[in-house]
Amino acid sequence: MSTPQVPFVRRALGRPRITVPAVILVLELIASFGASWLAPYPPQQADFTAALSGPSAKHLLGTDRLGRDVLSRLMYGGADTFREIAIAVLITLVIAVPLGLVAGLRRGRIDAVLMRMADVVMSIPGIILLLIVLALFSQSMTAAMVVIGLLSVPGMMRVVRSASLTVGRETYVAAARVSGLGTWRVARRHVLPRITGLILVNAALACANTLLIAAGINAIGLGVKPPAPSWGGMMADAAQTLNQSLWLAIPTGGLVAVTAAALIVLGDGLRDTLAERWSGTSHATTTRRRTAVATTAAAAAAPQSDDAWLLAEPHPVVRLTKVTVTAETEHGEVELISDVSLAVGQGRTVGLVGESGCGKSMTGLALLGLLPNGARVSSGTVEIDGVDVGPYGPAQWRELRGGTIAFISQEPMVGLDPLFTIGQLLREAVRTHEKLSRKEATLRARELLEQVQLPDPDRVLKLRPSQISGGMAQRVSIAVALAGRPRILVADEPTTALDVTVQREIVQLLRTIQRDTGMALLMISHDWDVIAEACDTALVMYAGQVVEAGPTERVMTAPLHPYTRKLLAANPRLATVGEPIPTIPGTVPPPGQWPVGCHFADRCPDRVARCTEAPIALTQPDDQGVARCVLVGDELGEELLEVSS
Amino acid sequence: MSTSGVTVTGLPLLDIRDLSVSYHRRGKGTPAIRDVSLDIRPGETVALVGESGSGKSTLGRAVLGLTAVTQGTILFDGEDITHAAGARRRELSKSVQAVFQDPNGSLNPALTVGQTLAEPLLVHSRDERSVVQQRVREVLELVGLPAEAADRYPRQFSGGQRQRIAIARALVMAPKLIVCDEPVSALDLSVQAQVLNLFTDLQRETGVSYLFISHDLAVVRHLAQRIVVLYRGDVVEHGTTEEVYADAQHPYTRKLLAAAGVQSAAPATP
Ligand SMILES: Nc1ncnc2c1ncn2[C@@H]1O[C@H](COP(=O)(O)OP(=O)(O)OP(=O)(O)O)[C@@H](O)[C@H]1O
Ligand code: SF4
Ligand SMILES: [Mg+2]
Repeated sequence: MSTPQVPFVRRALGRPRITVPAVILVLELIASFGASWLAPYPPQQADFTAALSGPSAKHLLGTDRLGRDVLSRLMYGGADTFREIAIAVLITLVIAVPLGLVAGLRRGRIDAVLMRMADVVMSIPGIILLLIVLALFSQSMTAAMVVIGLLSVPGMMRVVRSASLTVGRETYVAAARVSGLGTWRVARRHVLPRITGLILVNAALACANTLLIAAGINAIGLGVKPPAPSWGGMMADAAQTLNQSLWLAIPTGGLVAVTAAALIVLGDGLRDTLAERWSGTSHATTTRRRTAVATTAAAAAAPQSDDAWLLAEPHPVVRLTKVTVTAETEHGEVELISDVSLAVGQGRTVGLVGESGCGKSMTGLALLGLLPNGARVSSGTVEIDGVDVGPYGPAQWRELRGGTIAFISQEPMVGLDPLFTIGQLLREAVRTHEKLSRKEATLRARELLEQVQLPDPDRVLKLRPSQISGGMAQRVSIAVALAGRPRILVADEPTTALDVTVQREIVQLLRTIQRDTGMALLMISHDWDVIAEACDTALVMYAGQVVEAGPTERVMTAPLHPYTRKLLAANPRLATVGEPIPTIPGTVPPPGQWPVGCHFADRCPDRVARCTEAPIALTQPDDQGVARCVLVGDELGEELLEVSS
Repeated sequence: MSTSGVTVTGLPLLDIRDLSVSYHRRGKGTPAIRDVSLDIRPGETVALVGESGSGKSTLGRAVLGLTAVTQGTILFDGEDITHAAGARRRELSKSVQAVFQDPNGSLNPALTVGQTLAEPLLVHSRDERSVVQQRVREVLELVGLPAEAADRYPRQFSGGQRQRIAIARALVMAPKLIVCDEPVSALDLSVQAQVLNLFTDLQRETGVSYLFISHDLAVVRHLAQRIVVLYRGDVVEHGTTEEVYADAQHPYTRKLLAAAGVQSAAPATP
């Protein structure tokens, strides 16, 4: 959990996408600004005897029409090129970034005025203005660059504005305002750092763009006056002598192309590296070391657990047997879930319950083949319809996910693309599974909306995700999930983001659909009410392990494990008003910091010495389920538990 | 009678009168809230309850100055703050603070917890670094987090811990009123329990008032002395917690009570 920050520069240096273009650009800069020391010849020195020669030891990049050294001229021309780019892009940034921030954060009238002004500037025909300015200012490239810089302001401003609008909606920006920060402070501290990546990418694009425009101006002879060297002028020369020498076009055109490409790639790379700083997910560039995890040792030490009860479901659609998921972190490979077994039979519902961070979602993702980058199933088997899906590649998984298995998540809106209507989204989902005409697809989409009990389906088909409420959105995402007629549905906290009144309806809806279709349901929730209402079997997870399982009713009325007891009690809905609500002190230990013995030991009121000596096995006291606690299935222990509860 | 043992006295701290907010220009379309009146006395918790879209958050945001008011007045400590802006609003932020729903989104991921907590202090005073750090340590302790937490980033904390940090930020300036907009709905039940107890303890220790916005009547009964039920922008029920639980007048309130799994007989029955 506590991932130390790898310094930005160090991380950037490890990325070829950043280092390669950066090295190219730095070398170009050194060569350009150091031309008077480094260049082999002065830019104007002509050697008529060697005109239009190819590369040679004397002239590394050959010579031009007048026998001048191409390398030297490119170097001398570079300084001007880079200076021009800098002028234009700096002007754009200095004006556009503050204006964009103000427009996006203040909104209202100031935004309207700025956007109107941007429209006006954007409607100016740029080329014509550029030609006029060049004519007026006797081919001054500086004047031309100022114009380009100004003309690019509206585009950049829009980018900054829309990004600040988005960041400005984040709760922490509202929180900062409530703390008393003015617009500028909010912009500088909270918004700018978040959109720096985006600005960098766009600045890089603007640089590349300016480079090409400047080369163009020089190529048509309106900028730098010959014989002074410029990249554009040299490209024009190369074009004129193309029928005499093909070579000349390569270093001149190539340099411009390589420079533009380097700028774009660098901007992209910097953005991704910056974004990682707070997204928390590290890039997949971490080579997947196949460390034979300490599972062999652990397996030897691990006691023989009684998984039979967990796996004894009739007609299982999915079955996980002793699945361990590990992930690469700064501290090496750590287990996220450990030895999890479960089975869900046709038409049955299994609930996964536990506090945040116990590995409920990870378990669901393992069976969906959707583990995050860097995480993998390191031991155990996942079977779907009796087939071991361990060796499946991405294509096979996609096919499974489209049909046999489906998924709905806590955030219904996230899965629904705001650009499309509900009808378009559903038709697309339907057509990836079945070959249907447009008309048939619409009919099926309508049918799905009826199945999720949305009133007035024809109207809903025409709406966009932004026009529906959270409850409706969850129904729509269930409809999308049902499009492939799944045999198992994984529902990860499907009601948590919804109002209490809507929560019930969604759970009941899932039950109805299940009764009608016979699909299996894996319901992940921290809410006992949802588990009680929906699930035949309840599995309680704690710190990566199944600590108790049994028929839902038994688990909730006669819990075996101390954690289950505590978790049932820590429910504000059941607590007595006027007294402190019962809680479980402390927090779930993160992966990598699990205790050797019982994972719950630090927070357990019933702990005894045995609890922390060795890993604890699942035991099955009777046919009503299993629990992972030394006191369960042990006469004296159970007495102790009775007393404490 | 107050449920959390806090004595509630005196003139209202917050007095909202006939407040309407419309997001449409020139009052077209239905307003998000219409003629809402409520008051909160020092040390009191008033819960604002309703389903999503009922206008709860709009009212909270209007009090915080994050949304423009169309009609009506908001008095704070006797002073009209309905349209307070700029320097006045910044001054006000010493006394009125907020805790928002989303524990992931309410902290800037790029700042350490210490930086986030110090922010209001740096805006309002020119205290020395050591004084600021001392205060940051104090509020962290108040919400039950270790002092080392100041040097870490939000993503290194669990949802419940992040919400504690957000509460700590609200407490830094020792405000008189905290607007809590669904502060526990995104949390596990077990963590909700911890955070609700924390709210109760803080009120006992600091005498702060809460405007507590929630869709869950089961949660608010632990904190609120009075409940205001909002339905599509209108107040449909207003009374002490006991009254509302024992004898809800409006059918919508009864529906909410049923959804919360609380029998409308008495608040204390589990
Ligand atoms: N990519 C990853 N690399 C390393 N650890 C991860 C990664 N993704 C998640 N984890 C950790 O794995 C653990 C289990 O996470 P999981 O999301 O399964 O919990 P959960 O029980 O679903 O919790 P919640 O109720 O909050 O959804 C957590 O401690 C989490 O921080
Ligand atoms: S094994 Fe020990 S520490 Fe773990 S739950 Fe049982 S009694 Fe508590
Ligand atoms: Mg989860």
